[in-house]
Amino acid sequence: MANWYLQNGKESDVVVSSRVRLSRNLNGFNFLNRCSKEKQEEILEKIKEIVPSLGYGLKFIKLDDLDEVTKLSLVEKNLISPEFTVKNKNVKAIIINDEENISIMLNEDDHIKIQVFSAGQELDNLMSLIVEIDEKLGEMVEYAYNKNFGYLTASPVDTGTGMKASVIVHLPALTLTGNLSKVLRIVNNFGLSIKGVYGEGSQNYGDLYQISNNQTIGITEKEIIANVKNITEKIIEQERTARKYLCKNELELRDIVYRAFGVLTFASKLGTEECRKLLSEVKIGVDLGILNEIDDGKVRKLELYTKPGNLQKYVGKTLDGYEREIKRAEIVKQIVK
Amino acid sequence: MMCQNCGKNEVTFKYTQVINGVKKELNLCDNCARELGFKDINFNMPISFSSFLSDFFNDYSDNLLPSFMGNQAKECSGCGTTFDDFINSGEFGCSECYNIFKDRISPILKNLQGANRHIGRGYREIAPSADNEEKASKNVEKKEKKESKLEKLQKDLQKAIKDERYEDAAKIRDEIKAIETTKASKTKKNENKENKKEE
Repeated sequence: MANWYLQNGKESDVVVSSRVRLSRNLNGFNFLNRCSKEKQEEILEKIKEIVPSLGYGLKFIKLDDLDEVTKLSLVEKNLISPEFTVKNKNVKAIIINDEENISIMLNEDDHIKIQVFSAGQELDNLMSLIVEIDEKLGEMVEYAYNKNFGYLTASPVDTGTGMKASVIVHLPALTLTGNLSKVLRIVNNFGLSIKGVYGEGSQNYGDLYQISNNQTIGITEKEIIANVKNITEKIIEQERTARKYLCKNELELRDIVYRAFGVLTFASKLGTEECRKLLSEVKIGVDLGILNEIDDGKVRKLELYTKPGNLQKYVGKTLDGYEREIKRAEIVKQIVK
Repeated sequence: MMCQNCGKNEVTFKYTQVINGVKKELNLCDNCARELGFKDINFNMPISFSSFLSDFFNDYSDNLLPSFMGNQAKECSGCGTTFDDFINSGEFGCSECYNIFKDRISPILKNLQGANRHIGRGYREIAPSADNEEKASKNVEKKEKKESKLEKLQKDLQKAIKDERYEDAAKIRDEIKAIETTKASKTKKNENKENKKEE
């Protein structure tokens, strides 16, 4: 079966994917800002040893052993943070499985950052999975924990549960109808944060937004999940209402969708941002049944393989910007066919 | 056009600022722009969260209650981080910092997150069985722990039922029973100890 980022999960017309993260540190080691290279090596070694007994088909990979394109492709899939690939690369590692639904970053902001992923809205299942992993791991190593402050992290913004739950939502109709700012305000009022996946405001090509919790202490894991879930449900509702509104003027919408599809499939070269914008318009067409030439599985494929890193992975060689634009147009044609 | 600052070189850097409706334009050459600190600005750089935090904490440290000011110079015995270090970086150095600066972290967490007490999942709730003498003195604490454990088990039970893992649910139910009975009769204290070890 295809990996999660190529699947369509629950509420996939609006929710692209879900993720839950736990930040953990080892007892007996300083946090990373006070941790020597040698000690950081030691942390890697310590955890490397126990990876086989963790199960889930997880493998330990040092970041240094990955080439630049692979790293970029992992960042694009959201499996590692962009910052993770930048500094002190030689004392960083990831633990990842073939399905890529589990990715543990070692020596990122904290010693351990466990992450689980799924397509669609799957926060409940993800939480069960991450708790299971966390319990196993917590048996084998000793976490830094304090009865008062919970799981201790370098930055106080993560202390407590150490948990961040997030979903990525596609909100083209709210954007088109000019209602997005209202939504952003409401989400913020509920103590959650929402931000554009590819930049803010009008610069956000692709209409993708990430919703996540801010509070990590004085709140239970279940409450965090419930909060993000509730708000997401409300946003789904609003987005669907906005889409129905757009459908009232089907000709206008059809025009937008098919213009995008036309450029996407007939262009001889495509820029990253242009492609993202077109795909967003094509996706809403597919989700509303206006565009039948491709299905949502192909949309996911297009989304993934038109990103610079994954594009180069797909082709199997490194390409410069101009070459990528040409190849991107070719790949789109291949996938659409 | 020549540089406004030195008047010698061609302008390569333009900077416009509008403050309270007053527009100010700067036309500078490469050298002057660098000297005046403009060229170092990286426009693509996202605001680093830790530096943002440190600004926040800086404002904060001036307004700290006098009772917190006393141990400002205190150093963490675990890693040598001082509270000032934390204010500058927004990060603690080790888990011991949370003990050393406990009184000062609490109000910060309260402002930052609206709460300062962990109520989520516990870690290794069942403490490894301590010496018998110590146990008597820790009785009260133990009672608390047991209760939170009971709560956890009850939650687990609900979840197991919801997930239709009935075998697990039965096990959890038995565990809950065991704890409840030991609670009722203190004479069975020893038996409970064994249960706890098994778990």
